[in-house]
Amino acid sequence: MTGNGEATYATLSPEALHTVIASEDFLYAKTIRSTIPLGTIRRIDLPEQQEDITFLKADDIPGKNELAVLEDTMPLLADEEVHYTGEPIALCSGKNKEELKAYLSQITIQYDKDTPVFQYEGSSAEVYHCKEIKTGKPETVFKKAYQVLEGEYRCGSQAHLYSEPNSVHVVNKDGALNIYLITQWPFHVRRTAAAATGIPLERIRVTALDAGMHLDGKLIFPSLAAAHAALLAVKTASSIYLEYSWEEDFLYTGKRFPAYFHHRSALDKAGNLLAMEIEIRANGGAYPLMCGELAQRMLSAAAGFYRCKNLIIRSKIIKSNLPPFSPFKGFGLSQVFFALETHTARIAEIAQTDPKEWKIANLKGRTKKSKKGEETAPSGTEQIIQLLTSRSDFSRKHAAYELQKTRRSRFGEDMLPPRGIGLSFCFQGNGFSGGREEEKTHSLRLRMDTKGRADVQSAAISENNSIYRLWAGMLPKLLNIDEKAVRFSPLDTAETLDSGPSVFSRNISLLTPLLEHCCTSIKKQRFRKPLPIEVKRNIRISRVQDKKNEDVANLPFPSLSWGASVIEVEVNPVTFQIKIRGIWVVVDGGRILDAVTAEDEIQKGIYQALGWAGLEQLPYRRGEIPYASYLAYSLPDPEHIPQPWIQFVNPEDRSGSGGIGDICFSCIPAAYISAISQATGIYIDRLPCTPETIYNYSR
Amino acid sequence: MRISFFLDGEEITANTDPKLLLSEFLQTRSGEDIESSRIHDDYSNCTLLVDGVLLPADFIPLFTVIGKQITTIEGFSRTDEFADIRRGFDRARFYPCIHCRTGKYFLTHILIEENPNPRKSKMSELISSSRCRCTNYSRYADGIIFAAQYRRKRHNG
Repeated sequence: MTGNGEATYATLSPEALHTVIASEDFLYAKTIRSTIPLGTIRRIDLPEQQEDITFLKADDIPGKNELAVLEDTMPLLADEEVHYTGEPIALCSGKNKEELKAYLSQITIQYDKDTPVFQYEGSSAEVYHCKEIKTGKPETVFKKAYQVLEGEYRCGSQAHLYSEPNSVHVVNKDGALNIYLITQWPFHVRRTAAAATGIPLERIRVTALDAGMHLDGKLIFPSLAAAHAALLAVKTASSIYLEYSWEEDFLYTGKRFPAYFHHRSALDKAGNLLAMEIEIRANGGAYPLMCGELAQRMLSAAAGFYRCKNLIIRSKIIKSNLPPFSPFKGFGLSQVFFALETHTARIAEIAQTDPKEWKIANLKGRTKKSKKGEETAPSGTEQIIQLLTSRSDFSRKHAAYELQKTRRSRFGEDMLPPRGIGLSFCFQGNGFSGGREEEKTHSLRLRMDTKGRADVQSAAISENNSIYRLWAGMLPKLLNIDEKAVRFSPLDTAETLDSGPSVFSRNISLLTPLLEHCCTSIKKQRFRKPLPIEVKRNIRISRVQDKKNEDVANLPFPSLSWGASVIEVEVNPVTFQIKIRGIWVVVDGGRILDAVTAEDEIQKGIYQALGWAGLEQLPYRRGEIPYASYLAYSLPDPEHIPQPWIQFVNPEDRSGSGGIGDICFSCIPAAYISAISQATGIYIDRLPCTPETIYNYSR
Repeated sequence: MRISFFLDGEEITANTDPKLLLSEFLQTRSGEDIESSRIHDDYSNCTLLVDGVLLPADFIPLFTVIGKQITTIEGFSRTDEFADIRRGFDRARFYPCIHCRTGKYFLTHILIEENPNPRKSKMSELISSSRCRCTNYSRYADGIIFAAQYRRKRHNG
């Protein structure tokens, strides 16, 4: 397909796929799922064997019955025990869709039921990851503190609600498999399918189709669906088409991890932070998918960017019998920053300080220093806060609304519409933490042929091909070539390189610098070498990591981006409806490569983050999402969200670019909740905050 | 049952099961008449216009379209109206994702038909029916306004 410009994007659209597979004979496939949250499969009763129907269960897997993600695993098909409602138990394929449905409806599975665990906050259930960090002498400081503030915060889950449910088409050609699907990690799909089927890697080819807005929901579960389809393709020696229905995809694929936080902060007389004790509990679901990464990210960011040397942070990822959770934009950090920034807003209120002044006094600086070690200008952090608060008129509004709140004896008593304003600050960790996936060799190749055409080979997958639009605009300038001369290799494992998963803004923060390095290298070589020239570069974290700045040196991410937001709301005292009056966001993502794309990212992030903060609810009942909640799940109405003011800054003149996609998820919810708390005078401590939440709290 | 309707201006007559879904009929007919594929069998970009009303072909039984004018995205993409919208979206740098763009194109067409000179202040109310994760609504609103400008220019010279 082609995008806005003339550069060629060789991704395969569903229409193109239609042509590719139109001539293929294929079988329809369906997943048979557990109907109970915990138990042992006693027996599976199948209807009378039909000629065209193939049934496959865990015993029939020729290779590994395992979906491995980083250091975590889950079975492809439940062997004896089932651990969540909707867990895949077996697979079925058939020529006719209706006959297959009829066959599936006759299958009965008998279980020995066990007692499931759904709660995680105070649960003594099995723990996937338990970590603790301690710095300074927090116990001593807590004993001597002028005051101690405690708070509990909870954030709910969120559905990715992408436009396309997971579907996989596997074409079996003489035992070699061509897999077509939408995924953020085609090489992981290939590895998983190869391990499951026992087919060598080189005989499996994965083609990634155009992805819509997946919010990281297409990272893990497409690999599971692909492995299932590949297993059936091998068993039946046919091509297979496996599709999830809307409902199936919504109910049984990964969602955002729900989390609970207990914050305890020791303060001095002026309300400044002296010590923090933070308990984190996240619901890991039935299988730990990237829970190690989640624990690390949460632990690293739990204390935010505050000047506090005395810390105890404990994080636990608890096993439960809910469907496994999976990465979502802002993975781990968005939950952590919601709790932290809501808590700090309360600290500022108790200290009777302007939250802006409190933040400037307590946040670390990221100060640019001269060679003599003197500070040259207000720190990067302070610049962000100052710009944001002056533009939103934060201090004046905050003082006015505070006065309005204290003068009335209860919410809704006065005639003025209750208003509030909230401020929140966050950072985004780009790439995997602690060298997890980044230690592997992930590469990108740039080739310039004899006609001066540039061909980029990478497995970068972005929402709506935005990364390719960005690179297509960047490459002609870097290589002095025409836009028509830029090509991108097909997102096909046989024709491109493994660039790692497209998650945590790696495309921008790790692959884009790599592409720039390749361009520089080709430009240098062109003076002394004839075309074609080919350059391949591997990701090396040292290239992007900023370890000179001691303020960020202890954060285990390849690079960081920063953001802050202010939200102003008005709450109807009768209906508790929340009206957003204004949204202001400042983002420091280093060098912004394309202002329009960056602004797009932030605008969309605001909608989605406000959805999580104020609307989207996933109430699990007995281990599953009720069907009514599935039907009622909706997205925010653009009519109710005002046009935000967005500003990009680069106070440290960073030459590298950082991701910005997670910023809104981390800074919008806390600002929104703080604003509602000020407007209503009721401390809201959970997400989402709906009119019903305010009503319940006000009683 | 004998069923006749107009598909992208061409009269179609078929002797088929009236309960067949319109999407199934179109897929079987040529495989390419509708922007759909086996990869999204139960959800597809199957949005189309039936007598100027935006509807999903996956939900419409064939007998309900007897005698009606059906416009698919393939037919619509060959028109000047589509070109206006595409130009407007490009100018606004609004790139809807592959999964929702058909709906966005048709909705824009309907909005401009109803209101040839739309105002941005009223736009969020108009487009709030088309909610998805991938849309920057501000840019979408700009795209509609630009598309309307191109259409007015084409009509008025």
